[in-house]
Parts: sequence; C-alpha cells; structure tokens
Amino acid sequence: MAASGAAGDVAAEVEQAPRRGRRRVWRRFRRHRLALLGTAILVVFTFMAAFAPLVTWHDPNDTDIDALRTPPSWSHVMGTDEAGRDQYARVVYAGRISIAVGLVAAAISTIIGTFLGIVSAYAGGWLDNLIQRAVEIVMMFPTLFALILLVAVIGASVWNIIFIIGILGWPGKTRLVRGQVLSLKEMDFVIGARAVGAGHWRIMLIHILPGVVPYVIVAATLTIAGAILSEASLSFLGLGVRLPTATWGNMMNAAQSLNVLKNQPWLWLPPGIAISTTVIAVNFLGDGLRDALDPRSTID
Amino acid sequence: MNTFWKAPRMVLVCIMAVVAAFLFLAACGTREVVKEVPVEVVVEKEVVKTVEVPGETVVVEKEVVKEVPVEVVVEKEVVRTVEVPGETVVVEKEVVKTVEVPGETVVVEKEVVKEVPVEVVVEKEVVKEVPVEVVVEKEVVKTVEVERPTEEKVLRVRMANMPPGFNPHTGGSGAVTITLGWTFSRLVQPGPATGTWAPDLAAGWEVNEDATEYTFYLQKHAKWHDGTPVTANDVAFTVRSLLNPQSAEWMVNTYASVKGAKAFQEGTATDVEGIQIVDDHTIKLIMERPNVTFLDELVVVAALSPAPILPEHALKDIPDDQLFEHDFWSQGLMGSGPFKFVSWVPQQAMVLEAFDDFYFGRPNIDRLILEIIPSADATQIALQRGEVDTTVRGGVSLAANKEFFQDPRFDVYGTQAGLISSYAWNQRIERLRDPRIREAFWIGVDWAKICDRFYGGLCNVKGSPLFQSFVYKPEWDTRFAYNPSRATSLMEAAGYSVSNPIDITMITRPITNPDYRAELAVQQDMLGDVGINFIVKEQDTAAGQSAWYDTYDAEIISWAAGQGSEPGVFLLSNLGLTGGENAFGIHHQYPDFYTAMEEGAAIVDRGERAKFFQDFTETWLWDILPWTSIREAARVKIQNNRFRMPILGDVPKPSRYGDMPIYPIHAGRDDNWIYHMEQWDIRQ
Amino acid sequence: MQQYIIRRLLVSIPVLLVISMMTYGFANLVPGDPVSAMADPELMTGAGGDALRERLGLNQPVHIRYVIWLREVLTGNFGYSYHSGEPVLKVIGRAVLPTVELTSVALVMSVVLGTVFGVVAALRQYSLYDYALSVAALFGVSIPTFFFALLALYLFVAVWGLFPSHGMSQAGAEFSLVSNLHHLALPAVVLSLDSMAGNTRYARTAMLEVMQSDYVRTARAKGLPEFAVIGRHAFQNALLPLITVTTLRLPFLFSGALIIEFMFAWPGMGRLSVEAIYLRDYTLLMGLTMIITALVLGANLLADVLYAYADPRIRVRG
Repeated sequence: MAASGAAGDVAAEVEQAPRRGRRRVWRRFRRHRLALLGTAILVVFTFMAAFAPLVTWHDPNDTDIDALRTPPSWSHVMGTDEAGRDQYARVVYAGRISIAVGLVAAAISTIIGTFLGIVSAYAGGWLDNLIQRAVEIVMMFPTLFALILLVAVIGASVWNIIFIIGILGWPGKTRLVRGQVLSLKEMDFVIGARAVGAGHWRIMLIHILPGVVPYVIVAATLTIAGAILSEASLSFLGLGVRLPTATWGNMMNAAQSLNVLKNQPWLWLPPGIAISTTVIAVNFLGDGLRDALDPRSTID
Repeated sequence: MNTFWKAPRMVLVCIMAVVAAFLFLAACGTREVVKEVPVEVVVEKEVVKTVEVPGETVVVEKEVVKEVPVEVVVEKEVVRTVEVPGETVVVEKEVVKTVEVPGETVVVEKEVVKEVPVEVVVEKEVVKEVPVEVVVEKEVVKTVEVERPTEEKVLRVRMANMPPGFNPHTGGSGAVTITLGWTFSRLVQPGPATGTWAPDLAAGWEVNEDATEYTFYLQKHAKWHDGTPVTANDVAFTVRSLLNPQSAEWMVNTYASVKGAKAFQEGTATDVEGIQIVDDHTIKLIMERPNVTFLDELVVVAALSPAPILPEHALKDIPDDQLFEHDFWSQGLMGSGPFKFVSWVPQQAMVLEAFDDFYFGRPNIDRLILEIIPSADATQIALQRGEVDTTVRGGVSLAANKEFFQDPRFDVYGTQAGLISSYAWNQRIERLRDPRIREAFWIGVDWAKICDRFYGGLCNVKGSPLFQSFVYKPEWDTRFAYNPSRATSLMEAAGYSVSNPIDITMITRPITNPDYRAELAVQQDMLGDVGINFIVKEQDTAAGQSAWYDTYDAEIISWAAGQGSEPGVFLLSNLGLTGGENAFGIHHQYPDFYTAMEEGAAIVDRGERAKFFQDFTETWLWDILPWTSIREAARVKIQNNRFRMPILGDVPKPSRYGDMPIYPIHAGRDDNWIYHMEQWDIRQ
Repeated sequence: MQQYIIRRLLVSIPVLLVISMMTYGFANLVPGDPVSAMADPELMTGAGGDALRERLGLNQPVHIRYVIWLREVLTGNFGYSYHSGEPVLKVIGRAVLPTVELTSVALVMSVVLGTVFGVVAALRQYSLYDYALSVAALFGVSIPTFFFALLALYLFVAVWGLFPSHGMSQAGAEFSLVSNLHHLALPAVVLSLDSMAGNTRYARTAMLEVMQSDYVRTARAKGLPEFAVIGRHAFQNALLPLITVTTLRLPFLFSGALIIEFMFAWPGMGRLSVEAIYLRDYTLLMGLTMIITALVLGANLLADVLYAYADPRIRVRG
C-alpha cells in the first residue's frame, strides 16, 4: 500500500482520539443508523443461536422419513428438509456453527495478520523479509486448493475447519497493515515517541495500532463473509462439517438442485437469507465502526 | 456539479454495455436445440421384371429406382464366391448402392441376389443376355416418404467424471472400461438379456469336459482400426501384457487362472505356459486347475467390464517398463471395437467415430461424443435441451428423475445395479466383534422405507450378497427386516443402550448428493434410537481404500462391488484371498470359512453350486456377517427417446415411477453400454 | 530497476523451494497414494497393488521421493501423471489457457465494473445510488458462488435458453471463437460477481478517502473544474489501492475457479488440481503448484514494476 498524506492525517488524529474520549466515537457510531441496525441483527442472531433450545421446539437432527420436504405448516414453520427435519430448528442451530466459523476465523486471521503486519513494517530488515516471504508462500496457495489439502490431512471437525479457514486468511491483512505502518512509522508522533524513549511494543501498541484499525476493520468484516462462504464451499465439495450438524453453508448446499430451486423455496430461502443478512449486518457494523473511528468522517 | 450527474450515467452505460454484450453473445451463438428434419418426398419406382425362359430357369429381376434429387449414386458390386463343402458352388452377388447426397450417406441399399446354378452357369452378363421370349413387365410405382437426415447420426453421452486415463493395466475406474469397451473388443461380451456370455471377438468358444481348456475361435474378419487383421497373437499378447509385472497391472487376477501365470508373474518363466496358439484365429487357454468360471474372471473385477484385447503390432515395440507412460493410452487408442478413437480432451470430451470394418457391421451411429459434465444440474438442463442424449455414469437427483419420467421425450428405465451396496465391517477391531452389534445395526434401520423414500421404490433389501438369480432365495429379503425392538434388545445384550451408545465410524467418499446426505442422516437418527452412535466420516477414495486395505484402521466402510455372475468368483475376489491380506479381519478367525468357499467355487455342476452357496449363506454368511445392510438399488437411466438401444426394445412407460421397467444385467453394471453397440441408432 | 528485478527473482527461489516442500509434505500426509486412488470411486474393491507401487517408486520414503523429484525438475523433467501417464507439463498446458480465459475475463469485468460502481457510490455518498449499490454488493459477497451458478443456469439456460449448459465450446465440432465466447459469457459473469462486490467496496472506501485529502481540496481551491478534480486527481489516486487488491488476486488467475468450473463443466486448473489431490497424483500436483507459483511470482513482479511506473511517489523514491 502506498504511503499517502491521507494516512498521515488519520494517524495524527487517531493519536489524539483517546484524549477526546471514547464517548465521541460512540456518539458518531450511534448516528450511523445502518450500523445500529446491523448490530441489532447480529445481537438477535447470536442470541438465537446461543439460546437455540429455547427458541425452537424441534430437535434439529430429528428426522422424519414420512415427511420429507413438506411445505411450511403450523408445526414446522419453515417446512421440513430433505430428511424430514424441522427447517426452522436447523437454521437456528446452524447459526451457532456459521457465526462461530465467521467470527472466530476472521478473528484468527485478523489478529495474526495485524500483528505480523505491524511487526514486519516496524522491525524491517531480515524479520520483515522473512514475514513477507511467509506471506508470499501462503498467498501462492490457491485458497480452495489449500483448504482441501489441509482438511484431508487433519479431518473435518468444526474447530479444524475454523482453524484452517483462519490460518489461510492472514497474509492479505499483513500486507495491508504493513503498507499502512510503513508510512505511519515515519510520522512525527512515532519518531517523537521513540525519541522520548518509549519501548518498541508500546509504540506499536499505542501509537501505531490505532492508526491501522480502520483499515483492518473493513478487511475483517469482509473476512467474516469470506469465512462463512468458505465453509459453504467445503460443504459443496463434501468436505464440510460432519453429518448431521447443520451450517448455513451445508443447508444451502443441500438445496443445491434445480428442482428444489423451482419447487421448494423454503429449503434455500431461510439459510440464504440468514447468510446474507448476517454478512450485510456485519458489513454495516464495519462501516459504522470505520466512520466512527475515522476522525475525518463527515458525520460529526 | 455537472459531473455528478454524469457519474450515474456512466454506471448506466456500463451496465447497458455489459447487458448488450451478454445479449449479443446469447443471440449470436444460440444453438438450435430441436433439429428440424426436412421431409423430402422420394419417389420410388419399383420395376419388377419377370423373365420367363422356356425350360426351368426363371430369373426374377427386380429393379428399384429411386429418385432423389441432387445425388450421386455409387454402386459397388461385390461378387463373392463361397465354397461350401460338397460340390455346390454358390455365387453370391451383392450390389450395394450408396446414394450420396453431398455431405452424407443417405440411403444404403443392399441387394443380394443368390444364384444357385442348377444347369447353367450364371454370371451377371448372362442374365442380361438370356434371350427374352416373354417379358412380363410390371411396373409398380410406390411413393414413399423418406425423412432425409440433415446430418450425420451423432450420439452425445454425458459422464460425470473424467476417466483419469485409459490404460487397462491401471484403470480401475468403471468409466475407463466403458470407454474402452467402445473402442476395443473383448473376447466375450455380457449378454444382459440372456444372462450368459455372448460372442464378441470370439465368434465361438469351447470348453473341454473338465473345464481345463478354453478354446476361442476369433472372428475371421476382425480388423484393428488401422486395417491390420486381429489374430490369435494379439490375444496371447494381451494375456502376457496383463500378467507382466513390468507393465504393472493393478488387478493382476484377470488372467491369473491361466496355467503358468504365476511363474510368469514371478519371473521364473519367460512365457505363460497355458497359452496355445492353434492357428491365426484360434487360441487355446489352458487352466491351472479345473475352472468353470473363467469367462467371469475375464471381467476386470474392479471395473466390472470385460478386459479389452490389445493390439500387438502397435504395442510390442514399446518396452514393458515404458508401456505405462506411452501416449498410446492418451492420444493413440486403437482397438478393434465398433468405434474408432478420434480425439480425447481430458475434462471435456472424447470423440469416437464409427469403424467401417467392424466385424459385426458398421455401427449405425456415425459419431459418439462423450462429454464430461460434473454437475448434475447442468446435466439435467443439457438433457432437457437435447444437448446430450443420455448419461452413462452419474445420474441426476431423484426429483429430476421423476420429472424426466413424466416427460414423453425421454425413455426412463432402470437397470439392475449389478452392485451390492452394503457396509463392510472390520472385525479386527475388538469392539465390533460381537455379531449381535452387527445384526442390530442391520435391523435397526428401516431399509425398506429408505428404499421407498430415497430411491423412489427402486431398491431392494437383500439378505445375502449372492444376488445371482440361480442362487438367491426371495425369502432372504425379509431375513433382516426392520425390527427396532429386537435391535434394542440385541444391543442391550451386548452392553449398550441409548444412554450408553457405542460409537461406530463409517468411512465414505465425500458426499455431494444431498439425497444421500439426507439418507445418512435418517440412518444416524434411527441407529441413535437403538444405542448406536453412527459417525459418518467423509474421506476420498484413496484415503478410504488405504484405511480399509492398507492400514486396517477403518471400522466400517460404505462398500460396493459388482455381483458378477458367479457366487464363488464374487466371494473369493472380494473377501480378499487373491488380494493378499484380508481386510475384513475374518481370515484368521474362520479358516474353515475360506476352505468351504474354495470348495464351493470348484463345484462343476451349476445346480449343485447353487445349492452349496444357498447353504453357505444361511450358515456362514449369516453367522459371520462380513457385510450388513445389503441392498440393491436399480440404476435409473434417462435417454432421449431418439436414441435407440435395441436391447431395450420399446421402453414402456407405466403410470407410477416405481413401476418403471428394470432391465436385467449379466456381469456388471452398465452391461448394456458395452453390448452390440453397432446396433444402437438415432431416430432422425 | 534492473537490480531490483534480479533481486526479486533471486528471492523467489527459496519461496519456490519452501512451497514445493510444503506441498509435497502435505500431499503425502494425506492418507492413501496414487495406487489406492485407482479404485473406482463408487466401489471399494481393490486390495493389492504392491507390484504397481514398486513399479511407480511409491515404496520409497517421502524425502527420497522428494529429492528425486527435485533433481528431475531441475533438469526440466516434471515427470508423468501417475494416472494418465501423460507428461505433467502437457496436462497442465492444456488446462492453463481455458483457465486464464475464464479468470481474466472475470477479473477484468469485476475490476472495471467494481471500480465504476464504487466510485459512483463514493461520489454520491448516502444517496439512493450509494445504498442500492452497497446492498447489491453485499448480496454479491454473501451468496455462495455455487448458488449463483445454479440460479444463472436455471434462468439463463433452462428458462430462457440463451446459453449452452456446459463446456467451453461445442464438443466434437471445430473450435469456433463465437461458440467459445458464447460458452464463456455465463460462467465469466457469475465468477466476476463474487469479486466485483468486494471491489466495489474497496473502490468506494478509497475514493471517499481521497476525496477528503489535501490535494483534492487544493485542486478544488485552485478552481479546477470538478471533472478534472475527480478524473485526474481523485480517481487516479483512488485506483492505487485497488491495484494492490487486484494483484492479491493474481493466484486466482492461474489456479482457476473450482466451483464455477464444476458447475459449468469448464475445463480448468481448479478441477485439475482437485482431481490431482483426490487421485494423489503427486507429480501432477507438484507440477501444478510449481507452475502456478512461478506464474504468480512472475505476474506479481510485473505488477510491481508497472506499479512503480504508475505511482509517482514510488518513482521518486527510486
């Protein structure tokens, strides 16, 4: 990422941000209506997933061979799926896995990516070189290719899949962060802090990290969507989370057939809407955070 | 401000440009799906000339004149003199008229006049020079409407996965052998309708009294696609090549019963002792020991298709250890079968062309195109739009099958699977040794209902893997019927219950078919109710094979195999003695089981053999239960009904999906795909 | 510059080496080998094969096989596929062109349209355009590709019959460009949707940022017409991060798009790679990894060089 005057502004102002107080950030965030809506949706979804047994009245894995693909009715509000399971219960329980995959995998990749990006740019020299080579190496592997190979090696449990998706996502963020930090570290306040004798970790954490947060957040929100969809792709290849656990991805995949598309919308609409809504909500949240954290935001 | 309104317009322009490009492409390339067949009226004039000569000779001359506009009539006259033992000389005159309309061959008229000379030597000229005394000329003018085909007959066939290669030495995949069956010929072919082996490259064969000598009489007119005649040497070469460890056949049992095969494989003999070339077109294969099932062993077990005969003249100069990498197998396939290899682009298509000199006659279909379409949905659309005529490997969903069943443009029928679908148990694992667990597992699932719901009723639960019609007893079907209460009590006796379930892990290949995932979820749910925690682990074929056959750490696997036509061959080849180690882990536990099996396979009389294996099922197999949950699901085939496969006849269309006709097979699945392909046709 | 290129090339040698080791290692960690993969996927029959293993050299330990492989590759021999027996380079060569055709068209489409949409959304921040485009873009990122592909197949092929259902040209017919493009349109559009959505968001963010920067303010203050401000100053600068994002996508250019290839029966590197993994075709897998990596390294280098020429600041720094 090229250095730019704009990034300097961000850093300079973000540096002052803590002094102005977090309240201001919150105030700006609150004004971002879509962000609030996104947050509300996420809270509701997470709540439903966490308390799934309380909000559903069927076991998600309870099959009924005499009621395959039945349309919505009073007892099955979203109908039943191809194994006669209650579609509503499955969507809710699937949220547990899918939200976890999205959030945890995004968190893993963002933390690794940000950390390595800052260290790489700040330290420079051989460490920078080494990290950049590592970035290149991981990025060379086509994602799906690497996913398949790794799943084949370590097996397809939920946590393995989260871990694999997370571990493959960091290089892009490392590059992004490194580009930002390269320009930040030449800024007056960083040089000043160093002159005052602040430790390296302190400079990285207090002076540099806040400067890259807006960029990282936007990237991270897109990663959440990417992670949920990666899990879906794995399901498509038959390498996803094990049977009979539901995820939004494998529910979409189970509906992947022309006849279902035409005749049984209750099989693909609920998981499809769940994925889209979650992704859109996460992105609104990301936008809101970015605008709130970005001191040049015009909303003020 | 002025640019602000320009910007959205830019978007509009972009969108419009994309849409326009999209539509342009859609319009310019739109392919006609249903071909209009112009009907042309051909006036056919038949002139029957009856020439009556005083005395006894009556020459009847029939002349058919067809008036087809713009055509070139090529007349080929073949005068064949056949000498029949005894002194009669039959002169056969064959007039082949080929009417060529620019582009393609339209009407082939074949007129065979057999003239048996009684008093006069008849030659063609002579006929015309017979003094005409009374000529009765009758002129019949027939007006026949002939649909003139607008293009060559092309059959397009879909296959889901690309065959990884075409080398029969290593190709275990059935996809490979089907395609090989189209280009190569086999000694014998399965006769799906007759339930026996039918002549192929071997026009006939003889087995001696004690089943130690098999003599094959090869087709006299058989030719390789390059015109070289097929001889007994080619067959001998094939046997050696498949047995040669250097060329590394994967399944080394195809010709393993031939005398001296073992010594040759081990390198202690330079030739296979049991090969005897009698003459150019006769070869005798001598067995190591009496063997009534040799023809069945010619089927490549894994691929369920008879092993192809390879051309010696094309392959003999390739050193054995380079045979595998030779591009004969990828770009130079040459056999003696009905279709000539034209091109093969992996992941896309294989193009084959009718072979004019095929020994059963030139195929009706001019070109056979095999297209690789992995997605079932794309296939469904391609079938509906007539882009492909049928699908040979890999089907479409049950719902789609039912839709095609309603569609009058398609023939939908089932073929016997020829496959035993089951779960195979690794009895090395201590936990799984209790037979009560296996029985509870089997009867704890309502297979009949699963067959009904997930296979549209085209599936049967079987009580034994010995499906062969002369062995299988219908009453076995109910031996392991759904009985959850008995399953629960069996599990309790074995020490497990719903609250204290046993974990049983099954390995199956990655499942992309939602119906199958649903079926497994139902099984999991039902088994959970009897105290079995059924875990499904999806691993690809290589990993599954390795866990089952190499490391023996698979607990149960989803197991399928071809039934074959002989119970003994099936049991011996699948319970693993020929393959070396026994994957089921019952080899050492039940040595008597193995001796019994071998004895049974050697019984010469078919009736006695049947009786033996019936008892064997009820005693041994039901005690040991190497396989459970055995069922047979018919394979549903969808064919555009312009494609005619004579063996099917007119496919009836009953009102209920579950009543569709199920065609029998002989040796393995998709037998009808390699049976007399020259008779296939396309209705224009 | 020359020195820079040479240094980059030297640096890429250890990268290639490590990638080859990792791939070889992982591929061999997966249970099974080429011989156990030779069984029919529908069946589970096929014990034995030890003779074949020996013949193919699979009885050697992994590290020895790796060294042999490396030695051969250094002499330019990438080996033969374990399954088809064809030279690996030939197999790959056949798949590269269709892959690049599909992915490059999709990439260009997604970058160009994504940029336009993003820039417009930024220029009219918080307008109806902005929201509509944002929501559309989000739908784009949030729906699984396979579902889009199915939807496209259903609407454009099954219902409206505008495009062929499979393949990259009419099988068995002479290759024709029109037919090829006709086959290409649908998969390319579906493929581009995915990254177009991301690009729209990146472009919007970048443009918003640039619009508030000093030099745009200066340009405006100078009294330059709005068109020049946006066109010359803002847009060009907003493009730079987009170029970076695009170069990150270069591996995709060569490694193919598995799901699209699968759904539309497009013969490409994605399907080939997955086949290679499933069949444990180690030589093919290694060949694929090496070729893709080398191509991507080359493309990255090229992108960096071009980038240096495009970005005045980098040029100044030399």
